[in-house]
Amino acid sequence: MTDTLQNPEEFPPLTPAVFNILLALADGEKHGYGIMQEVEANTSGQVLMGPGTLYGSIKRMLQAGLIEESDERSDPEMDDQRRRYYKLTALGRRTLRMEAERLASQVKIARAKNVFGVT
Amino acid sequence: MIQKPAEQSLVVFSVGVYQMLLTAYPTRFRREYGSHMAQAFRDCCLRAFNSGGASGILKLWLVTLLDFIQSVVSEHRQKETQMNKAKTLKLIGSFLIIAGLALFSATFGSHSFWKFIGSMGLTGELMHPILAWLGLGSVLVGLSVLYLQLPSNKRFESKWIFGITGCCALVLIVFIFGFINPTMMRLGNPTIVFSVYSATLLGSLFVIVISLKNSETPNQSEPKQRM
Repeated sequence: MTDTLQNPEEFPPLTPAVFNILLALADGEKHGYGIMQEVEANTSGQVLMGPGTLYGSIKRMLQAGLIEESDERSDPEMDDQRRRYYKLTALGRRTLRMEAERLASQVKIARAKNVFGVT
Repeated sequence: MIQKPAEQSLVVFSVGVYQMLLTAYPTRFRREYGSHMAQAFRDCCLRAFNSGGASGILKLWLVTLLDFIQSVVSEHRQKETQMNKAKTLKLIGSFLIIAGLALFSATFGSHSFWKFIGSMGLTGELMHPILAWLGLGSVLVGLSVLYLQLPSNKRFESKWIFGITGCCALVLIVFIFGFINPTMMRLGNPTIVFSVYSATLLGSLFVIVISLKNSETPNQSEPKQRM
């Protein structure tokens, strides 16, 4: 599945797991545990992603062409050559941007409707 | 990082149990990601133990078990969907081929049927050309169904081309001779008929065997679902 053949608009709204993984990979490639840590940090510990959800989502995202495997390398902190690294594809980056824009527009509506209360 | 024996044994025990749990996932998924999942869980165990001791590990297990149940169900459901679709297509394709060949054979009529079988179609006469076309058309559609559900990298294998081309040629020959003499026709040059008919039969057999062997090949063209 190539980037040129797919449009991010073809994807239905992303699940929180997929969105969080895309967001974790937005600033560079990471391995599985690195993604788990990043997701936990990004959500202030509210989303604890287990290995099953993580790798199930990774499998589907690889199939959809949202992410791709990067050349394996050792993380200086973890020092393990066997880790598999993942990075965003161009399609994944566009999909992430579209989903972020969709969420932002909903937050804007929520603000307009005073959902957050008077400040 | 140097670990204490208690830390080592608790983490090793937890990882061992988790690795046993991994057998609940579909084989293909486990082979692809099992070792990475175990490694990620081991990292989580070390961090949980360093930050919260044994209670940290317990908390991690609660989260992990929920995740485990949810993801095992999800992976098996996806596998079933893929398998059901692939199996249904293979059954339809195989049925169309067998039914088509049977129909084609039956169009030789009861008297000449055994003559047809004995002579491999060299002297047979088609009693019902339209049914013969339908039979061969059915074989062709069946071959195409089996062919199209193959992964794209296997579509150009010679056995497929052999089967489908043979069937197309046979359909063409029957059509031409049916057009020339629609009520009672001979199949024409025995050598050509023998070659084409054998090619179709062998190709069909190859196709069925190969498609059954590839029964676990995942279908890439899955329906859109929420990611």
